[in-house]
Amino acid sequence: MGEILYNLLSAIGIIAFIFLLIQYVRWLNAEGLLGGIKLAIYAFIFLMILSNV
Amino acid sequence: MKFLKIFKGRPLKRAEVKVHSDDSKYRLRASRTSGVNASVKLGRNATYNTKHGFRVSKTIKGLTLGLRRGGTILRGRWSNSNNLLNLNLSKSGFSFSTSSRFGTFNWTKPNYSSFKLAGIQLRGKKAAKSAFLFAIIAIASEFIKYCAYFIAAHVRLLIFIFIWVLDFLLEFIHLIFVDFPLFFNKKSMVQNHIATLPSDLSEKLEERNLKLYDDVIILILILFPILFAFFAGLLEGYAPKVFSEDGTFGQIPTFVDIIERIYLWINLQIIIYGKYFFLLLGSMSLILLINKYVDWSIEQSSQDKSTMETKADG
Repeated sequence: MGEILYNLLSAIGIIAFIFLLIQYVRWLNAEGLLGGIKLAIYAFIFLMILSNV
Repeated sequence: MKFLKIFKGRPLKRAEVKVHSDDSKYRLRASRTSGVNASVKLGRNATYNTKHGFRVSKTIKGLTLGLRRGGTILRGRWSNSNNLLNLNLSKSGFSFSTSSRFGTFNWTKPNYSSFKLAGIQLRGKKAAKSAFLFAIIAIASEFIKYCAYFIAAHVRLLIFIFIWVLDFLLEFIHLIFVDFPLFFNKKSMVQNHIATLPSDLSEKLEERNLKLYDDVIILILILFPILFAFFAGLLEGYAPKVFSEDGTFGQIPTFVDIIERIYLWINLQIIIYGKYFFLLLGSMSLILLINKYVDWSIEQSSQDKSTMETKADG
């Protein structure tokens, strides 16, 4: 039961994390801190996640 | 007919005369290097010139493709917002360049740079050194500016998140002590413990504009290391020798030491509590969702009540 709850809440947490990450990059873009390298940032974060897994 | 003002620059840039028809369809030009020639504009992208012949070109998102006498045209230039990094395309391939206020330095082909100061323009090998110097200055200044605003914006973001989390906790308390009793329709329990949330900050998160404090944040960021260095220097000289085993103050930590310690501490926390990160985030999202639902249902019920009251009045 505890494991199921842990997994369920963690899944919601991962979805929330991805949502927050997208919001963060959008905020960076709105602040003008990306300078037209949005895709590069996404690729970098993606690679970082991959390398950690 | 109009004469174009090309003698404006001082000192004079070049010997050139240009005459256009009113709609610029017919053009006449005389210059030192190319002599006298005339041209007709045949359409949006096509011209005929007495010296260079027929030419047609089209630019799509920075990429220019065209045809002219003696061959084809292939050119491209894409820049980022402040022109610090330009990608240039020609038939011989791609090259990177950096623009500053006084010219452009080409990183892959330094002899293709340009430099202009007080109306005097240099190109090629002669321009490379000065263009390089100003490109470096431009990059350095932009980098410092970028870092300052990056840090200021993130400090602002952290303050925002801190306020938001406080708000969330208040909302959570509100949820348990006000909303749930309301939800289960126990008015007497609420009426005896009415609490009002502080209303200094606006309800909308977007309206809490913390950008106002950017200058202060940058000032503090510049002042703090200086003040720290100053007082650390004072301490090193005058602090009583009581902290270390041998009675000395020990090594005073530098700014980098503190950052390193914080970094190590964060790493340790991630190793110990990392597996609960998503759990916490998920529980928080769930609580927020429940909060939203309860708010919505209370609003619905109050709306129903008001409509019923108006109906009763009517």
